[in-house]
Amino acid sequence: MKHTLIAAALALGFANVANAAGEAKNIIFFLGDGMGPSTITASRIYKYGEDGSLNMDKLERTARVKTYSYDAQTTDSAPSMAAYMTGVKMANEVISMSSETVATSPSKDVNGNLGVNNCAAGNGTAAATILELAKAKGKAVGSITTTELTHATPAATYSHICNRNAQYAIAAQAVPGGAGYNTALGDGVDVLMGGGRNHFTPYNATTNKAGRADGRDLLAELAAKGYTVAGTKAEMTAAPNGKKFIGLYSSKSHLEYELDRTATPPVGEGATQPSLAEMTVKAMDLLSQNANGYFLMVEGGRIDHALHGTNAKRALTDTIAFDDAIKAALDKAKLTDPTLANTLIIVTADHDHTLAFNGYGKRGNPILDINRDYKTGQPSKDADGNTYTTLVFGNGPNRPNLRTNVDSTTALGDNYLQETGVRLSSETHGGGDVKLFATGAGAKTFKGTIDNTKVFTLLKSAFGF
Amino acid sequence: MTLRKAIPALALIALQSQAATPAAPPLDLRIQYYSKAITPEGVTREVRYEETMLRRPGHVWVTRVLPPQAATTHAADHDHSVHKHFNPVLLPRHVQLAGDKTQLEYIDTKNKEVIAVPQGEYGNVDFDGSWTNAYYLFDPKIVQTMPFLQRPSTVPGARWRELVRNGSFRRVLWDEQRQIPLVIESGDQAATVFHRMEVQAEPKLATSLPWQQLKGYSQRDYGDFLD
Repeated sequence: MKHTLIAAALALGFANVANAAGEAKNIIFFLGDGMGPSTITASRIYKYGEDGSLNMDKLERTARVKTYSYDAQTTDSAPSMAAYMTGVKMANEVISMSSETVATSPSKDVNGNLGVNNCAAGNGTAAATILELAKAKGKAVGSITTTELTHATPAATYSHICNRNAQYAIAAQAVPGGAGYNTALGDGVDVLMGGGRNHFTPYNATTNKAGRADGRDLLAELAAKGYTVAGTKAEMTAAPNGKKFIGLYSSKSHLEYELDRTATPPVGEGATQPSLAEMTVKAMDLLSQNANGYFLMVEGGRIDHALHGTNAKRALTDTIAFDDAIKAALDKAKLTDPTLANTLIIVTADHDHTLAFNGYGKRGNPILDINRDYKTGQPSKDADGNTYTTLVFGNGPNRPNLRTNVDSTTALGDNYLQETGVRLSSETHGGGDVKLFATGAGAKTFKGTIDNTKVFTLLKSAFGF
Repeated sequence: MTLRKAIPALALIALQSQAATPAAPPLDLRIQYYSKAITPEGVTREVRYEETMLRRPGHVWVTRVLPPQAATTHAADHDHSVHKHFNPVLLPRHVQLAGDKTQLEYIDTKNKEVIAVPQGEYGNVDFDGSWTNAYYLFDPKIVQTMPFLQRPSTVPGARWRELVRNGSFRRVLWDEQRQIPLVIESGDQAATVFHRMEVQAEPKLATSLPWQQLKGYSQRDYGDFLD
């Protein structure tokens, strides 16, 4: 009897191990750039109140992630995302390369753009990404973002380079058959979306000053390889299944902040840009045509940018847009996989920022507003008798020469910049641990306080690679 | 909040007038900023800085006056990183009016780069997006709504105006002919906070205009400096 129980327990144990590996046919990896714990809490209160929940809050499994890079306590987005994608610690500014790779800045081409890639041939070796491994196993793969498509986070999924700023070279790595192509992508990334057409199109002194100096039209090359090429939300919506897809929704630089994209009238090119949720659903439509499953990376990339400017309102609204994309993905996946038995969804951030949640504010006080005392409801005052906001930053540009009262209307304005402790021209990342949320196939292995490189191991295991 | 930012913010409270804005001549200006605050702990804090400004039809060019020792530091040190060091305070600011749209860019002369700032990032560089505020330093239509003040002016054609509300005041010595404030003062009547901006027009206009010296400069974007 005793032996029977032990045997049964062992069998159960083995079954659990076996189930933990290879459960996931599909993985969607959501990355909120710079979305540290305080940003998540503030966004939750902003949209749903103190006792509400973001969609990411509702995922069953959680972990905390250490984010330091190979050479820095506080990472930038290149090595932190690359650690998730490759399992390798590398130096700041390096994209999906071996640890010893030295970050070497690109230099200017004849037009003054950073078009000359100075990464030497012997400077490190490529570290395989989870996207490449998925592609090699016959899955469809995609990488979509609200930043430039060649920005660090998406670049870490499909390219290998010694410096994140060599964006023209990064773009070339995505074009099947072209010079500089990353052959580990097989016949190419199936879905690519983001901003920054200038890195893919030829220089023009009038119309494309930040264009490619080599004269290549990478979008034409991609079209020749069978890609649908889109520049607007309408073109994205109309794109047929069964073809690879690239959508670049800004002529240069990033997509608009969500606050500006949805403004009346929309700012910049916002009127023709899709939301991250719309991009996510379309990407899932396209990728799910592959019977072997898919890997999709979705980045809310401009959370980080608004935080660098200490503009909390734009950071929170972009976090909500990112969270809405998670909801859209969950709803979409459950249409065909109701219990997520085949689909793993991960939500995390690549690093923290210096956003702090400050003072003893009253419940229900708007999170972007000046702080109001929880007992009296009256404005809280600093030691000099001035009001202050609940959200502040450890460093950044808005350290007033003379601190005076912050009035509520100003603090709630779209362009208000939260005040900072140390005055820097741009706020820095933070070195604290970030949160990770998981649900679906293989989610239970994501737990405890883990290194960012461990996330890659767990993703690989979930896929059964 | 800098004085430059504080004054337009206060001015926005004033009622809009229907008065037409007279033609405003080109000017070369030197602008001195001063702020003082007295804290409940008895500490007095003072801040001073200066800027120069060129205004021409469609162009405003503002440069911070830096001390000699600042020459050893630089606002955008690309030798170390191309995306982490961008201090707009230290770079000349070029505001343009193209049709009915305001455009903002910073000029990095060391690296020969023009750094464009999209509208969505204006707040991050302390720019309110107003061509009127950039060109006139104070909205002339708001000036017209402010009552005259019995305070003598030594400048012909310039008169003081003042608006007091909720314990705060702002006073403007407005030069009607040149369409520019010669002095703006604001603060609270309890005298805990005081701001003063003093504007001096140069006797001669510069003939070499810096925005015409940008041939060969490469184009960068504010987003390039975000990681």
